[in-house]
Amino acid sequence: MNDIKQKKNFNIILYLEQFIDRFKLPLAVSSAVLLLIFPHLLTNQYILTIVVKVGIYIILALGLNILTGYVGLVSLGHAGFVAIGAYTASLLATRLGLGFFLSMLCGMICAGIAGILLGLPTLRLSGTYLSIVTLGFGEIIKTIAMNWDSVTNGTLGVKNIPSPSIFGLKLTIANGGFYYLMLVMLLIVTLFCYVTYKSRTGRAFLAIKTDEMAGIMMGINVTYYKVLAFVLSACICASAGALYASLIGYIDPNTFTFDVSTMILSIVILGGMGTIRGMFIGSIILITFPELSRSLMDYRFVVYGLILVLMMRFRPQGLLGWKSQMPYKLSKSITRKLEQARSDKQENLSQ
Amino acid sequence: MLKIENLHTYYGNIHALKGIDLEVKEGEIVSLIGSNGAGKSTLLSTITGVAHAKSGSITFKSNNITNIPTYHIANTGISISPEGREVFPALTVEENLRLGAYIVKDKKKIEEGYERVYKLFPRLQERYKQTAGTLSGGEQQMLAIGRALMSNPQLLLLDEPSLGLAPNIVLLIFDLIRSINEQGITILLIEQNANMALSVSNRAYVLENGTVSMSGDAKQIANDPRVKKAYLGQA
Repeated sequence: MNDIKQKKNFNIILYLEQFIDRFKLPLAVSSAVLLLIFPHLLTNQYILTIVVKVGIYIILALGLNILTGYVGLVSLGHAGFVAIGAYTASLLATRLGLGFFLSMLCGMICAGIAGILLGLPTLRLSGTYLSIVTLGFGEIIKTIAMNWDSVTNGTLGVKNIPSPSIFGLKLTIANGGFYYLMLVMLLIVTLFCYVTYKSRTGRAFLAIKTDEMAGIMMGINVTYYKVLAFVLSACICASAGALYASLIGYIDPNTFTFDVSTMILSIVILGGMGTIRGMFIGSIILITFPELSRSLMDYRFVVYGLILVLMMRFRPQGLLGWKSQMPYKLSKSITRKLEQARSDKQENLSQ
Repeated sequence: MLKIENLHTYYGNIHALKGIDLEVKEGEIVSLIGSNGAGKSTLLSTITGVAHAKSGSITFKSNNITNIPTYHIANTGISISPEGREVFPALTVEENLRLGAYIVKDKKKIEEGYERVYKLFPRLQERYKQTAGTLSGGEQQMLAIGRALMSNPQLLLLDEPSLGLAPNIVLLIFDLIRSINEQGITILLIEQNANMALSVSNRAYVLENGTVSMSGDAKQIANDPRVKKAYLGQA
């Protein structure tokens, strides 16, 4: 009964998937062209800033997706990793004058270490227990940023964070350079997530998510892969944090509140845990919605909540749900063997 | 091949295994029977490193594998089909098998593995794209065994393969166990269904309260009056 009901819901998605699958190439080319010339189409910096913000949140969601979507560990403290990335990168840039990319890399390394420190003691935890611990982690990082005056400048925050520059060319929103920087980073992170998911590591993540004990029996070192997921997730979020800091030019402890963590998690859940395309859709909806609905004033967060509630009721697996609706594709060599086996069988029957 | 000497395992204060000696020789099917709480599953989890042995030794092909980390077990050539099947319910049959071959890096060997499993279990081939959770109990059991075979093991540990299955499916599963053995894979079979287990095995061990109370030729054990009374339901 339930099954039949759900199938009806799926249909739109299935048609969409089939449509996308059929016109894969033209769609890919046209959207790539559109993305490339986008800053030249409009001169409105406000819109471009929002688009860049959407991109940053896609990177954040892809980061959390490794932990929550692939391994099934729900984290409510990812703002902590974002803060570590943003603070490390902007402090190195403002105080030591390091370049953007070098300081971002340092931020990622720091966040990775924090990922190990958070991942190791929480190995045995899952579900709500893990969420509470990660929630605490996010708060700890925020409190450290607030009280470590000599380094982080406390509640006053870090000011005048320089924009990134390549070969002396400053990348700002005004000249569109920042947009392209975001695009390149997004591309790298997306490809990284895709390759990880398809690899041996991705299979290990999947096994841990579905049945940890059976995974161990198959020879998967669960400790290693769980910590690895924490580290990868932290590094990706830290890179987005560094990008965000240099976009806004100013950060303080209140930039990285619990709201940021819940926002990232909402994107992951709304888009569809474990998918890559879902992160794109989720960020686009959740980040642009508050901007589009400014006319609703304060009520917009009521509508916002309503969207999430409705989605949980009608599509709990996320907009672009966990499993594809398209028929499962096998590797060619196996398909060939299967077909051969089937025709052999038929020959036997006809004889 | 597998040799267990004077093995003691505790769960906290509970002395679960009280000095087990057991040997599985290459090419054999050895069954381990016993009632609930006799220590069958504890013995299996001690072999696989899930439970820790307090003393005694487990050797596999002259390597000491006592208390090795569980994820290393697959690399030694031992493969497990766990109790209660434990397939990955959300993944397809194909993906389940792929995960079984997790430690195999050679793509050709993985293809061979698929072929071998599909030959043994044509039913799995028919359902290769179905999620494992939607399979029947018997099919899930086949999948669990198939998944264990994907890593190309020398020793296969089967924990209660007949659990919760219809009698005719149980017959089928035991038939398959025999044909897996004929392919040269040694099998240690842990079973409550003593009758079936003894009929396919070469040798058998009877566990009682954490000790081996009887061991020897499977037929001999099947004819032993004590076993008949305790496990086979005959006076």
